[in-house]
Amino acid sequence: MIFAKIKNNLLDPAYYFSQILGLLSSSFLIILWLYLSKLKLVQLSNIQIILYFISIYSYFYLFTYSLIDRLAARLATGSQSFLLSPKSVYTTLFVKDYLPILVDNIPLIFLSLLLVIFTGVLPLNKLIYFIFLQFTVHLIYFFTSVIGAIFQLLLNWGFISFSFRFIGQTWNGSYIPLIFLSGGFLSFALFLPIFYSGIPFQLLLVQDLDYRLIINLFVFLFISFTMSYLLLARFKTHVQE
Amino acid sequence: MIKVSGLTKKYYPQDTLSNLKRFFNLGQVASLPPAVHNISFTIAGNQTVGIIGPNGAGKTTTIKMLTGLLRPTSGEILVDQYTPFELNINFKKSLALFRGGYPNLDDGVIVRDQLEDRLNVYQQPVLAKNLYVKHIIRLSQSLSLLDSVPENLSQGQRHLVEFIASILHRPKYIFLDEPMLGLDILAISRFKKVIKYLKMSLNPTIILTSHILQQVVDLSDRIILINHGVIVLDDTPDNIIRQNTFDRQIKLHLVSRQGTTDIPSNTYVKYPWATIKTTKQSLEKDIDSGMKRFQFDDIRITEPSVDQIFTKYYK
Repeated sequence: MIFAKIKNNLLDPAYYFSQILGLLSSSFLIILWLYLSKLKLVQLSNIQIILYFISIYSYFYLFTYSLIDRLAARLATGSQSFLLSPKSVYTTLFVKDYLPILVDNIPLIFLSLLLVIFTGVLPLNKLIYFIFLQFTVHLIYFFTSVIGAIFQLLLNWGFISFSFRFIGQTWNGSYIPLIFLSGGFLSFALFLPIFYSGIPFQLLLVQDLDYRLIINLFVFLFISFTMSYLLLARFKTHVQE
Repeated sequence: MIKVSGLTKKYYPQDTLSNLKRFFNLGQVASLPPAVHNISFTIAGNQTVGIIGPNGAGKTTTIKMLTGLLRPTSGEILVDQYTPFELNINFKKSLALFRGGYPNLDDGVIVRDQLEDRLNVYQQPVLAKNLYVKHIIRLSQSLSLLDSVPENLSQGQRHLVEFIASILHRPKYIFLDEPMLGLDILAISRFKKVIKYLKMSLNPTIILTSHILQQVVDLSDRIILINHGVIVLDDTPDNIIRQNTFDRQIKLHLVSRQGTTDIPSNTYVKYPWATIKTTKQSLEKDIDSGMKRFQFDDIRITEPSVDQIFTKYYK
């Protein structure tokens, strides 16, 4: 299915257009920030800037296509798809709703990573570590979206997906944490269970990809997975009632 | 074998507060009046059963309970040895549910790839080696549709391929809820061919619900009519039609206006047609009197349509 999706994408001219547009806008922001950094207007290293934009790009893509909306639609009208499928609910949601969005986004992430490798801004071992962190964040995003979708259905509140999208995009694309937090608060923020923009946010705060990132990620991965697992199990019986 | 006894289903309000209360067990929520009330029936293997009734009668609720999508408020359902709402993996593999108007293929992915994916999930041979699926595709004349994405197909075309997608794992129980919704007569004919092939090749139990009553009568071995959540009729289509069609109409195509004045009360003339309303018992007598009264060159004897037969049970 995923290869089929990639094949379909490659045959669709609109796909190339969206990818080129995405690449241009992302490149523009990277160049702008690098320029601002050169002018000493931004206190970030070049590595921080490049990784920051590579990581937020995939989230932007997911927010734009709001995974929560897709999952909510699957859990509501398509309840037969997941209740009667021999596959597990997670597999159905992951394969049918999450992966297609991610697949759309893969070429640009891939290109960005190639750029990082060829420009040598990050050693290979750090790059692998970075990719692993990205993968973990995406898993967290998936589990968090499952939780969001369940609450959207329970509350009959489509505003939830809008709020998540809005908060996520604002949080990702701005310096908000740095503006409102300083000193000890900043250090404390590093240990907060991360939300969507965990890596990008922390990349703005730390000069290096250190152990604090992985601790935060795993704490939040555990919380998001456990919560979504319990809620989903309850949701299955709830829709049968 | 499907065994249903004392089945009742009450829904709950779907507002935010009620949802949260129920979800987190925060208090009692008053249920709505029962959608299905104390129904019982047994369906032996290999039968095709049509479940009919007016809107809101409880047909879809019954099908949802039979497939495990809903949990009965009280009563018991056994499909073979399985209780549907427990959603045992073997139970899930043995059934197919197709609901007209509820897409089961995803947009953006070519139909053929989605069919292959499903075959893989159900551990069936791939499309190229799957004679059963290939034959269904041939019968439904949908080969040319497989290389499209679902959103590019017409409503009827999409409907057909989604139906195929739902039955390609050789299910033992097939549940069809409004399966012919939006199909034109050609598509309905192909659909019926597929159903006949399924009956022949898989010997499945088919539960069918539709508002197109003639289609249900054509396809079913037995009809269960539900209204206000209870079973009103449960018999073979032949028996129901025979026991309920006492009325007949004799239509004569007149060649002159002779005999069209002072006509009996059961006769209505709209020249050149004269219509005599009669019953099965008086048919011979009324044909005889019509022949004597009118000069005509054509005669038709009609019985009420299936829709007319069932209308009285829908009230």
